[in-house]
Amino acid sequence: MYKVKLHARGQLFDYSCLSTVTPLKAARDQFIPIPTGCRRGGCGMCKVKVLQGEFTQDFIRSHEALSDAELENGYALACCMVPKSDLNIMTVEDYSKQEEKVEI
Amino acid sequence: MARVMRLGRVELKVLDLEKSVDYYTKIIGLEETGRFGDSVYLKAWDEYDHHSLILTKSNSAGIAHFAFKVETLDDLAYYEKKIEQFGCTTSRISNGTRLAEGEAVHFILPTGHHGELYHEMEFLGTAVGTLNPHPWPLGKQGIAPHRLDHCLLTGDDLKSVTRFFIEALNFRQSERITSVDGEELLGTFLFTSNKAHDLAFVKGPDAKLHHAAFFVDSLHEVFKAADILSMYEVPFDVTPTRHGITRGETIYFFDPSGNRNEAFANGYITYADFPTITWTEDKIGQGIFYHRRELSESFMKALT
Repeated sequence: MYKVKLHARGQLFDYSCLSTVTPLKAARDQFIPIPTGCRRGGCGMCKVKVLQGEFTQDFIRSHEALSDAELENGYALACCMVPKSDLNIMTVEDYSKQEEKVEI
Repeated sequence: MARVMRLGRVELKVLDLEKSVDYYTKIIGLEETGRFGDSVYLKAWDEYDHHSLILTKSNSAGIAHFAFKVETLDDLAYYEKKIEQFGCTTSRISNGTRLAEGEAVHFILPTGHHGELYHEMEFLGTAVGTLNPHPWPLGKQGIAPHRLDHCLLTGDDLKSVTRFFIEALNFRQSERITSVDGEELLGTFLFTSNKAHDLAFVKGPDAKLHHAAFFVDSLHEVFKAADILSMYEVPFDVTPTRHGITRGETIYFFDPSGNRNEAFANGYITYADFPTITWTEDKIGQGIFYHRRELSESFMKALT
């Protein structure tokens, strides 16, 4: 069982996630409001920036939702990844808001 | 000149071709009718033409093209000219580009979607035939819809795309969603047959697919579709409910690439002389989900 810190909707959520379960499914099971779309790696609504931790991303996914370059830069789709360690992740929405603040 | 007949085919981009074929044959219950290159062709049991759905392997999901069938080759040439007169560039897709298809007229909508008109397509016939037919075939698999019904696409310039379908292709608008002051067009529902919609658009990013819908008979069939989707653990977007817009009964779910599908039943019959129904933005919740009366984040934002 791994610990996940999720930054979403301007809040911080702490929850636990099995190594066989996606951080998206684990969050929803604990009523944590993670942005959720198709759950098939097609729409990209659950895209997160992985701030810390190891994970495995499903090979088959839409490259419009998550490109290879984004994957290399620590982005992932929460619906089709599993944790390999504790994770600290942030929704792309929160991440871009944080980046804007840094620029100001 | 005759009206454009119907939405005849949709080509969806899929990530894993075999997994998608498995889903669309076993769970949706379409029949595979051919393969060509990276594409698989499918039809519903009650359709006559060779295919209504093409699945094409791609590294992203979404809609590659939609196509409307016209009644004659003269109609094809007529509407080709009308599209040009409207100001959209057309090109001819030669026969043999895809399986079982004749020549098609290609155009790009103001919303960036690729559309086609065509007349020729190989004829396979329905599963029950045309001589003393049974109402439905034995041995159906999965949801087994009658046919492809409609698509909902997203785009920015809904006024231009509405004008395109009305002026160039002689469609009518059954319903629309506007801002409360009526100034901004947020949704447009268009028909060329007598269905409440053959193609619709809502405000959003250009060139994206919201959903492709298949027609089933009744609310009971929508409910049965939901049962089948649960048996196969297909992710739902929306469990059975009614639309205010079109009055259809509906369920939404996702294919293995994240393309949203709908099993749609009923919906009213409309005619060219019917006035357009207007929904204002403040009532859009019940326009789309008549019971829940509010929109959901996934329904509004998950697009391919």
